[in-house]
Amino acid sequence: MDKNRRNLIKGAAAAGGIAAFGAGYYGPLEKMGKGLINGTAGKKTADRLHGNSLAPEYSVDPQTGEITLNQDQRIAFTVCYGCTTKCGVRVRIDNNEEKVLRVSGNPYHPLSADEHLDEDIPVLDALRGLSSFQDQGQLNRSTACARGNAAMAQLTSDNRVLQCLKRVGPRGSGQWQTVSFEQLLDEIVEGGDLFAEGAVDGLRAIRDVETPLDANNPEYGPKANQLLMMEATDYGRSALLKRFAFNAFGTRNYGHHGAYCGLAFRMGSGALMNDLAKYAHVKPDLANTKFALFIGTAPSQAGNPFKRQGRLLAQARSTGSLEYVVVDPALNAAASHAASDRNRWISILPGTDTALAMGLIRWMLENNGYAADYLALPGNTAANAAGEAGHSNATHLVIDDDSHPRAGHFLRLSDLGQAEAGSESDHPVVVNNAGDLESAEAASRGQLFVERQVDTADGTTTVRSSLFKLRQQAQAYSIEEYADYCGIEAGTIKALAKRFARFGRQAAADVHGGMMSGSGFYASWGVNMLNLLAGSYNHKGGVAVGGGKYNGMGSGPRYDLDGFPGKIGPKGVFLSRSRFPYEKTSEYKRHVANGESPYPAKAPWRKLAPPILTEHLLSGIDGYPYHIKAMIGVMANPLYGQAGLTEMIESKLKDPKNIGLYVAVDGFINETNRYADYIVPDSVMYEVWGFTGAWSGTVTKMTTACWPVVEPRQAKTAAGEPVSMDSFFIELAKRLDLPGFGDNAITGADGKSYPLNRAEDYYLRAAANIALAGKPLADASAEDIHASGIEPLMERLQGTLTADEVGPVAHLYSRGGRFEKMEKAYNGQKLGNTWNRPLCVYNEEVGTTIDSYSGKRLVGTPMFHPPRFWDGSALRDHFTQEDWPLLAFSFKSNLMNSYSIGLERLRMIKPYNPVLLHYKDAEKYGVKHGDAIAIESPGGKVIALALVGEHVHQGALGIEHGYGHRELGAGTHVIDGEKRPGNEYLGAGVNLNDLGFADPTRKSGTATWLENVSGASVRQGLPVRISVVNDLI
Amino acid sequence: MDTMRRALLGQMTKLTVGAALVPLSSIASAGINDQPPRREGDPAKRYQPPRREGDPAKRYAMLIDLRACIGCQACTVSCHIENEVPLGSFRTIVSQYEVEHEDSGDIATFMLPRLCNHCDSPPCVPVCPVQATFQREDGIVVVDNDVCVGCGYCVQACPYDARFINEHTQTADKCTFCAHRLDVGLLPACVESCVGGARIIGDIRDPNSQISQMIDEHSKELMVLKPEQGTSPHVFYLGMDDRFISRPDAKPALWDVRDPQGEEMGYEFHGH
Amino acid sequence: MNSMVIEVLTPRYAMAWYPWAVQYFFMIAISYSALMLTVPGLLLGKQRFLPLAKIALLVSVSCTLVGPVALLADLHQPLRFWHFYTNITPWSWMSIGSLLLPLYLMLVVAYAWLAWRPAMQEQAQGEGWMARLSGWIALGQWHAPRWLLVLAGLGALVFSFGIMLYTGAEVAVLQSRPLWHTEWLPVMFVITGLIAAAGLVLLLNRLMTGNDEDVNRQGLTVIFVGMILAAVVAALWLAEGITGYSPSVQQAFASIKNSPQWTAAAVWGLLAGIALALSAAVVLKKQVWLGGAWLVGLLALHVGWTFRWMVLMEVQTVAKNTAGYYQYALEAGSYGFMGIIGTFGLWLAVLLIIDILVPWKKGMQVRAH
Ligand SMILES: Nc1nc2c(c(=O)[nH]1)N[C@H]1C(S)=C(S)[C@@H](COP(=O)(O)OP(=O)(O)OC[C@H]3O[C@@H](n4cnc5c(=O)[nH]c(N)nc54)[C@H](O)[C@@H]3O)O[C@H]1N2
Ligand SMILES: Nc1nc2c(c(=O)[nH]1)N[C@H]1C(S)=C(S)[C@@H](COP(=O)(O)OP(=O)(O)OC[C@H]3O[C@@H](n4cnc5c(=O)[nH]c(N)nc54)[C@H](O)[C@@H]3O)O[C@H]1N2
Ligand code: SF4
Ligand code: SF4
Ligand code: SF4
Ligand code: SF4
Ligand code: SF4
Ligand SMILES: [Mo]
Repeated sequence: MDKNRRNLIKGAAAAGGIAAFGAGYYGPLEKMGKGLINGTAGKKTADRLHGNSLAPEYSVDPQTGEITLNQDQRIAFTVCYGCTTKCGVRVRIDNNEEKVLRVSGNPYHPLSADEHLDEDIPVLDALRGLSSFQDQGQLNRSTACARGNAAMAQLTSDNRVLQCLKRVGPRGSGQWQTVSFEQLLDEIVEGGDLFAEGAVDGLRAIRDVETPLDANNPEYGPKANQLLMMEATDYGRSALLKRFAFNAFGTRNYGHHGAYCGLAFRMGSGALMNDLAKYAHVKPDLANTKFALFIGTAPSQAGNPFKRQGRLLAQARSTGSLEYVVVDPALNAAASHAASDRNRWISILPGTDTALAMGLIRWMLENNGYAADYLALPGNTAANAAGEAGHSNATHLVIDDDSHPRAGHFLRLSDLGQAEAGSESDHPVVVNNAGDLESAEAASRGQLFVERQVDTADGTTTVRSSLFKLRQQAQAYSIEEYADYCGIEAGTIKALAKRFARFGRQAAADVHGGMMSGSGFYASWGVNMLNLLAGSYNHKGGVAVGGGKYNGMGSGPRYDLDGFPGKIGPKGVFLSRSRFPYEKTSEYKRHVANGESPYPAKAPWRKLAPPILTEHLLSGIDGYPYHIKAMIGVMANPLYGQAGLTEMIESKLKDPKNIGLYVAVDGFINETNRYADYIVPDSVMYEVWGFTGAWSGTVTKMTTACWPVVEPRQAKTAAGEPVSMDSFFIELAKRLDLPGFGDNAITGADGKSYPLNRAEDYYLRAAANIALAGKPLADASAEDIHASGIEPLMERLQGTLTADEVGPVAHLYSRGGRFEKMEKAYNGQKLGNTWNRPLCVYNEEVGTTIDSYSGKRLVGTPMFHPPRFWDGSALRDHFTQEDWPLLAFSFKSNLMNSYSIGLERLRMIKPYNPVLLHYKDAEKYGVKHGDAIAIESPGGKVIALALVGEHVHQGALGIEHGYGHRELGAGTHVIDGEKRPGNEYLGAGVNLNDLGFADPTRKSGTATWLENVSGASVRQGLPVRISVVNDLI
Repeated sequence: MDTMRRALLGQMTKLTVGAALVPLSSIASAGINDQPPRREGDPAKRYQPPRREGDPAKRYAMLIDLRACIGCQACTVSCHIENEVPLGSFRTIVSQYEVEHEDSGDIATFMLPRLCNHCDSPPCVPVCPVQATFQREDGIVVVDNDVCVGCGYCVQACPYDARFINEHTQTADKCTFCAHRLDVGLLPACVESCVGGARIIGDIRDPNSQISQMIDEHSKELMVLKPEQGTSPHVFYLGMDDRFISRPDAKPALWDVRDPQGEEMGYEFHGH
Repeated sequence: MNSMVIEVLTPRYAMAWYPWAVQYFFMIAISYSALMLTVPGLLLGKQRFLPLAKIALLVSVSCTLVGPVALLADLHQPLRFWHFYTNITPWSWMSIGSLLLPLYLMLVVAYAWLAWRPAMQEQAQGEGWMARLSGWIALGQWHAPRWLLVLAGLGALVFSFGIMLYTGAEVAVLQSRPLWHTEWLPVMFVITGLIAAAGLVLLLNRLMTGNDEDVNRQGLTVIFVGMILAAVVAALWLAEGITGYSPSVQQAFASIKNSPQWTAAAVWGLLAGIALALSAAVVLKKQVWLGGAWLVGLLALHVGWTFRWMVLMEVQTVAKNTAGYYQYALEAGSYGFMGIIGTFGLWLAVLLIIDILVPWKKGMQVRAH
């Protein structure tokens, strides 16, 4: 080879080397290029030391504390929708870009502030209180949690629905076209062949409040009931939705997420609190509680209200005097190692809390561990004399004889012929200290444990006192048997009961989502019973029902937002067959008339339960009691949230024959509304109007006011209003010529009529009702108006309200709501806001309700039973320990909630949810820490990563909730032919609900596993088995 | 060996906190116009360039009451937003552990917020080849974005993983104690949003500040991270478990991210 | 339970130093090591070592030129490199390095230029563009005295010690990473640098010259001795660890125990090291195999590079604060695989361009007249 050729080859090789270098060096070269042009290889920084940190919203003079606001920003108070806690927050907004910068807590707000400020403190003073001036801001903070901070990204999310969408492909195919709001209304009102799939009934056709929908069963109500309304929860606007549904459209059928949130807990609590209409509940007064027992609830991990409880718990265990025990199948954030001298976690097998509760009750009853003096108070007279806020029915006598016509009822004066039945004075009867029967209102004390024969108008019968009946139930098993069943040692149960009893009225038992098991109703009641036995209801340091809310949406001092001309009342039986005894149905009567046994009913009729979304949907499709024709869902996502529902309903929803029309109002496409025919884009947080209320345990009365602190981004109506839930229902009602909407729909206290054409017509008037309730709020000062960023709101106030309302309403919005002063929280040793109904050791309503399967009366006190199906058979009768050795349960993520997965700043912290497995189970099934395992249930299968340790009860498998999404950004959609690809990372992880399954004792395909009494979705204690997945790739 | 080491480290932490505080409080009482603290006592004998900028009368520090920390990560997210931190990077984050109590055997959760310690003898500062990072007179360690060449040396030098190269700015980034807020009388984002009320910031030379008072009250219990590094950290922990002051002997976190079918997906926010 | 503590949530940290750093450390170590290999032949004028010196000089120059390019890429703000010179910081090893590096580079280039100049001048006598180019590069036909070469060589050597010192110290001073914080690290950098440099010489000896036997023998000897030294240093380091003096050893063992990636790397490193020492010894002994010395050279390069990869990249995966190891996966692009390939590409180009332009195999200015 000659030298030239060699050089040529070398030259070529050298060129190749240079090329490789070029290809490898493009990164640095690009940076150099940027450096050359911009002086930096990255984004320019606004400040050499502070980089691109946000400009401060105001500054505080270190000497005087004087505040100078940053005129480029404003601070406004509204509500956070980062979770159902609905905290009041302060939102920092860039005035030039109209962009939310960051969010923190509203200092006037009890859910956000350590100690909330008095309403009359000027806003600037409140802002100073948040600063580092004299450390004030950290001596009394007002915060937003991680989700509350991250959630502002919902506003600008790519996954938001901004236009009215109509499906173009088959249901659930993810193909949409944008349509105008007006076209959408036209189509859903008039119906027709909307999807080239045949005729669809429009809402006008469905809205018939006269014709019975089923002539054979007239009690089912009118045809209008064939519209089902569903909603997540009251995010401040439910009143308007219900006004439309119940009182204008006239459908009976409305359901919210309660039945798959915490209904079993709420009903158990309602049974105790004598409130089976609204299911009142309590939360510990954590600031003053000395000993708390958290059973199936995890304050600071989740819990409602999340942030407030988390903060109170943290403070009480570090600088206060709280000690507590957490009973939970899984370790959670509430069990704090750093404060290990103050708290402890005890693990329990899922679904077995009735055993624990009855074990604790048994010990307390047998060892004088109860507030005997308090429990002995038989009525209000005695309670008042003793200075108690209320009394219990522990001493009341129950007719406990099935042959007696009033079996299960309290023995009343009328039974003894001493009063007219049903009259005001027909009081229950107790055995007084002298051993005689006496009216509960007359006796000063009643005997606690009574069992005797009594002569009644209907003959001699056995009566037992409520507490006696409770003890009977508790003594059905030994503490050792209970211990064995729930997986907690007997010694531990006894010690726990002793400790709880020792703290008396400053002991509090708290319970919530852990009760969503197949035994949740009685378990919840049982746990709440501990509070009653200790006498801690209404006590400072005990359990608190809370201050409740200022209701602006009723008939208020300024406007009647409840009644309106032409208002109708819904009629008929709920789709979910609740609140209606089976025994009153035509069907029952037909059976009886035919001489057949009416039991079991075709499906559960739950007299005690509220309308429940867990039954509505499948019942409406199955057609028992009747079919539905249309559905409007607002923000709800039962397919993600209810165990087993997706598997059972997916194919049915896809078929438009089952439900002709499904309209969703939502900010996002979720696992449920992906099957909608139309999606109405809704405002998201910070863009909405509304009033949200308080949570139990919030010891002062409060209402949060929310208003669009930034302009909604979605499409506008022809009239220029943002399309939203509000404008949708207003305009829909107007098109359907329904009462209660449009001109003259609202009546003022002045007798004049006012219009309801726009959202603020409604909400600002509600604001006036709140601001001027009781002692009216003062007028807001100009400085308050400026400092609280409500200047943009003032014009709307002036345009909508009467002159004398503007000042107080401005004051309301300038503080982000109306809040009772902190000084009202307590009244000596009692809470300022108390629950005054008699508390139920025995609940007469429960004890007289007949189970629609067995035809037998329900047990009227807490009791032990294993998780069970509709026919009363136990879980393990169907799914044996051998086949399904583990019990899966879920717990809420402390970071995520059900719809937060789209928030990058949360995903970056915790992108995935490994499942909790006990190391002994792991050994048994050959699983190592970090292995992929297949989890299989009778209803589904998922693959997850095993986090192996001692953080979960042996035999249980814990799944953190909030992951395993298919929508909310994970799914791909085509809108107007343009592909919006899903982000697979939003679908990471697993959802316990994919493991849910059908109740094997109900008609196939008509129900997921629901708790018997309440109809709550069972998500705790699902039978599963696991295996290692060897090779995934 | 383990218990020995722990006992030893435990001693050291406590000593180090003491060492950090004693001279400072004496300075505070000697009058705020005195010289900033000398660092001759520095066990690492590391050269420290002079401090510049900031208020020489102050020494900022943070106290974190772990007993009050609920692990909510409000601090993490609010800091992230306030300081425009790139996704996947953190100026502060709260590590979460499952811990067995050494005496009782109870299992509990241990939350450990981490951030820059604004060390009194910060190893990250002297290594910087261009003096872009420096300590202010008030103790706050900052980075000059206009000077930093992005060499990453300081990132390596910090024993606490408190620094990173900011993917947006291509310069070193870290907690600044939100100096831009402190300087105008506001609280740092993480302190302001601390749900549990665990984070307390302040001037430890002001005997009346909340932090000084808490330091007085708890001086015997306070600990710092990695005292053996001789960095004299100025983030003090209350309720600390000895096992965590240095790199904990633990089963490491699972970093896989999988879809419901079990396929590994990787971490979404791996920038470079 | 084998552990009482489980980490549930910790962040993942990105690497602050990219593979570019490995490339720089690799190139610059070969550069100063190869420079050392030129000493007997070129500076001391030992004829027997002249062929070795010729190749070593080529290696040294090419690597010296490429190293800083890789270094620049490891800055996230590469175009701000001049800040090094406007903000001189004598207490920072990196700053010191930034002063040493350009001077070192200039001295190495001067040294090589002086060494190659006579041949260039000769080439300049001929016809064509090559001759003209050589004339320009040689800067005329004036005679440069040998003491100039010796001066440049000695200067380069002195600065090369500076480079050895700063590259080693820069990393070893960091207490934050116990694995780095050992005085043995700079020593190992030098030893493995020598091994790699000798390896590269062996390779080029095979590829660019007639596979000179002396060169092979000399190169193999360097590698063998280097490996023995490396073993001694490793033993000393271990001894320190056993006596509890060095957390570096502790952490190394902990890492190997707890991270499968580390275990694999350690096993591999050990095997490769043993293989290298043995093969060098065997080939040295067996005359017939001497022609295959370049294969040993390849292995030596691998060992030299992998050592730096382990030290610079793998150590960065050890979390400082938390229990785990970050999963570092080499990415494909500029800051990963392509960057590595690119550096080698540039080196190849530099090598070949010199090879085309400079008759480096011809006479060298060895002996003073
Ligand atoms: N961070 C966060 N906070 C939230 C929410 C959120 O999504 N994220 N959501 C809010 C909402 S809507 C609600 S309803 C509340 C609910 O708040 P919580 O009731 O506190 O939360 P859950 O996770 O539903 O259930 C509580 C605990 O019950 C345990 N558990 C499961 N099965 C059983 C059992 O059989 N027995 C016992 N004893 N315990 C069991 C779980 O492990 C879990 O720790 O939280 C609210 N706060
Ligand atoms: N396995 C398991 N299942 C559970 C739970 C559990 O702990 N474990 N928790 C249960 C509990 S307690 C509850 S409360 C339910 C929750 O279940 P749902 O209340 O039915 O579901 P969410 O996802 O909260 O519904 C809210 C929907 O509103 C939309 N949205 C979100 N933000 C906005 C906004 O700002 N504006 C508008 N217009 N729309 C918005 C989203 O589409 C979101 O899906 O899930 C229950 N399911
Ligand atoms: S708890 Fe957090 S996410 Fe929920 S409402 Fe309050 S601030 Fe928002
Ligand atoms: S924690 Fe790290 S970054 Fe902060 S001052 Fe100390 S060494 Fe520097
Ligand atoms: S990254 Fe920036 S601040 Fe850090 S050492 Fe390098 S130049 Fe200095
Ligand atoms: S002080 Fe500021 S920068 Fe530092 S962790 Fe807190 S919020 Fe982040
Ligand atoms: S915000 Fe406070 S309580 Fe929450 S994780 Fe951070 S330090 Fe802990
Ligand atoms: Mo809920």
